[in-house]
Amino acid sequence: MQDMLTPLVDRDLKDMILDAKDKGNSLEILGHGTKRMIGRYSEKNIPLTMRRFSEVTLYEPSELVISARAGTPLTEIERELKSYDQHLPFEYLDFSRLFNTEPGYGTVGSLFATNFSGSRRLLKGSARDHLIGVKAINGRGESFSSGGRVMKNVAGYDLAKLMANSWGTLAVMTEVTIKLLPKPPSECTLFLYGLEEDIALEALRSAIATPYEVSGAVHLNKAHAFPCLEGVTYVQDKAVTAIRLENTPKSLAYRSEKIRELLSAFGELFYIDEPESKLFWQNMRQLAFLADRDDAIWRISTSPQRAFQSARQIKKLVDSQVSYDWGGGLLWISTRGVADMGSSDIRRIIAQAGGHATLISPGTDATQPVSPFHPLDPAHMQLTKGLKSMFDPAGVLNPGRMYDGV
Amino acid sequence: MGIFSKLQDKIKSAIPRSVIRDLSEILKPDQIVLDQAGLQAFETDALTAIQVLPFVVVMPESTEDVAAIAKISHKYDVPMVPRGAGTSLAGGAIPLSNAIVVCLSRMNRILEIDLMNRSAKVQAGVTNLAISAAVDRDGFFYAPDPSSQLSCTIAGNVAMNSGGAHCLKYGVTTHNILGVKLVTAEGQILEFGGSFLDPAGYDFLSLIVGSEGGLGIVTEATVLLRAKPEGARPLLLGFETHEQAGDCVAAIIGKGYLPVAIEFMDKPAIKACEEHAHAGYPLDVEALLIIEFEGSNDEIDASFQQILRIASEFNPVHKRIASTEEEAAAIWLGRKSAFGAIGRISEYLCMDGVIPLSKLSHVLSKITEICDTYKFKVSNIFHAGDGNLHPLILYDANRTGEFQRVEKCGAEILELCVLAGGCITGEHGVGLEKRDLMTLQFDETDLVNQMRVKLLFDPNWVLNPDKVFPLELAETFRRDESSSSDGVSA
Repeated sequence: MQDMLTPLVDRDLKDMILDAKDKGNSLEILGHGTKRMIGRYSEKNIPLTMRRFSEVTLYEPSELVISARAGTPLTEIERELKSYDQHLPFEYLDFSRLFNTEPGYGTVGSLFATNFSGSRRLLKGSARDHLIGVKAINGRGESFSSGGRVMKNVAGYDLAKLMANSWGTLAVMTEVTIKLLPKPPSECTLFLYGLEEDIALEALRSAIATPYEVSGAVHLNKAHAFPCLEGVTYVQDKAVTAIRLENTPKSLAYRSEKIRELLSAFGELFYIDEPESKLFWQNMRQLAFLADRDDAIWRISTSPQRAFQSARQIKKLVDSQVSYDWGGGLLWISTRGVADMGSSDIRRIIAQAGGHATLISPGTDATQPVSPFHPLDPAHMQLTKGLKSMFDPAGVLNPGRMYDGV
Repeated sequence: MGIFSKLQDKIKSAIPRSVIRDLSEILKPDQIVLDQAGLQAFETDALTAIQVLPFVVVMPESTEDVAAIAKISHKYDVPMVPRGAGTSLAGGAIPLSNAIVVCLSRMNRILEIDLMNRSAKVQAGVTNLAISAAVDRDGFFYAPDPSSQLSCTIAGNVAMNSGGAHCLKYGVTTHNILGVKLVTAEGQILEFGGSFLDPAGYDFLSLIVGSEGGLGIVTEATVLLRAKPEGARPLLLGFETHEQAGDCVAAIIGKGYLPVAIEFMDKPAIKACEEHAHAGYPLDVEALLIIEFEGSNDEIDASFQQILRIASEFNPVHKRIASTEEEAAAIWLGRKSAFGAIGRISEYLCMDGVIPLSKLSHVLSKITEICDTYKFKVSNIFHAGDGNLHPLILYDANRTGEFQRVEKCGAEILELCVLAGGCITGEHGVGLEKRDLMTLQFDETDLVNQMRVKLLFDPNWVLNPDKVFPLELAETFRRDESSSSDGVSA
């Protein structure tokens, strides 16, 4: 284990990058390291943590905007927002239960570098969508900025959003500016029990197509449902389909009734009120349904229309459990007992349907190395390598973190 | 030096006739415009003060046509200027005299509507409003709504990352595009994203949306459809001062209300719109807010009550709720026809700066000061919820030198926006108009990092060149890059 580099200000970071570049070294860019288990890892890279870049630099509640240095803990950002009833609307994922790490960690920089949005992404967009400004230092040691503190800004290319999901391989973000939203005043969830997957997805699609602004639409299979329902409601040994609404109490009463009428053919809809509803979606955000298992975990973005067929094909070939978020657009699959974690079958099927599969955790049965990120076709790989060489020609920043040679 | 005089400097040697010969081999005769009268239809866009007669205009009918055209452009190193409906207010579609204008208006088919996926795949030349019209009956719509939505194309929206009045709630183009098909400078056909969320790997879509045709020619887009609200109605509030109106907007948002749109008009704008559209706007106020909410009738009424309660702290002298669809339509007709209404009075230059809302009254009074110095009248219309200002500076196009003066006046306003913490363009794009103002907002390293992206996609700099980046900086950059890559290969 090499000593961790801990820059405090931009100058330190720039010097460390240039020093690594001169010596032919490479750096592993970290926040608190909460997502270190995801993606590729290289022992050669010298770890560098941004955790000392910690400060909220601007918060204007009336403009729905906050800026923070990249290493600012998410807990601190949330504390600031709470006092004005605002929030990060994309419900970023919390991996602490999945990886058995201490909860309450994670920096704002790593949140955007990895772009893992949760259930509300369906209605309100992704983390990337809310990243409106970035200051960063690239692998050449150049400081640059893109975007700013105003939410509409089309001057030049949007390098800020490019930083989202780039896993620190193009530049190290030093400060981010985020568009916020007011917290909805209240929420409720409607549960349907025991639906077959295709029927459940149909119910979710019908709910999403209404004007009632469904902000969560998931279907958990029987095995996955249990840990999310604990403490929420009487747990039945059945799959659960959940539809969340967020609005004023009066609107919730009206909208939930409308959805109940519309979906009555799918079965009885159980109304889950605020504290329990909140707990259920917190469990979802913390991936409770995937924790404490030895399985390999896949997160798959695909077209909702093809999701059920793809999942059925996968289940035929691989011992797996499938649950759905984003109304079917996001599949969480846990697999077991396969040397390649189901990689070749899953990726072939998803490629045909459109979309991509990310291996979040390899589980205990894996014996073959598998690329955590969905392999790119040659044209995209060429562009990806080209972009990497524009920002980080010497390969100093997180080389190999996403793909070999990037 | 103004934009126009710089353009004159850029006229290069004539395009070889063989380009036309090669184009005739891959396109039908009616897909090539060469005659003077035909070309004149393409000599400008909505930045009408600048006109440049293109060398040739081609009208592809498929992605394959575009790819074949790009290969010819690549073979002869001839620039291409992509064009949708030519509604750019920033000169994004203004031709170069030595370029092939690639006009996508014939690619106007909706290829696939997939309501289960809440997406539609459309060709580049489909108009913004046509998408919503195609799915209206099914209860869906496409959210970004630029004022030109009746005629502007989705490819133009993608190029400029267009917004509109309702993006306060639904975001701008970049938040509503799932995928694109793109033809590269060398004629390669690539696809990015698709009918799913959050593409794999680097977010190339974030680069392509808003790249103003500089990275490739978008020939198809997959757009996100949203469920239509049950209804939507606006509320009008009139104030005696700009400050009161601005503070009222800040209070509404600060207290947790997010209307779907908040529009602001100042007195000259109110007067012009009222005379034109007879929307029932009050003429005795200094500032008018149009605040729209969505939902059921009861939900909208409940929201209005909350807003009126908040607004009462800021002494509104005029309050009017639209209680029917007709009243709502009349209120919006006034706002949506604002540019046309002011255009009846005078030529104008429409600015597009963005400011933090907290700086509103300071910026508005400064804008008046700047325009007074130049002796120009100004009307202010803007998307108040997100701070996107549209000062319309009125000028006399027939007076020699006036355009150069109004450009300078506009530049001062944009500098003011940047100094206030904002930016030079919120939704119109940079194009030719603001190319040389990019240095107000970005330092050289910022721009070099953007230009490296262009160089990756467009190594010969043939895609809508001379737009977005300051000319001299771009030339220095390309010279430095070519000498350093020579060094590497040597």
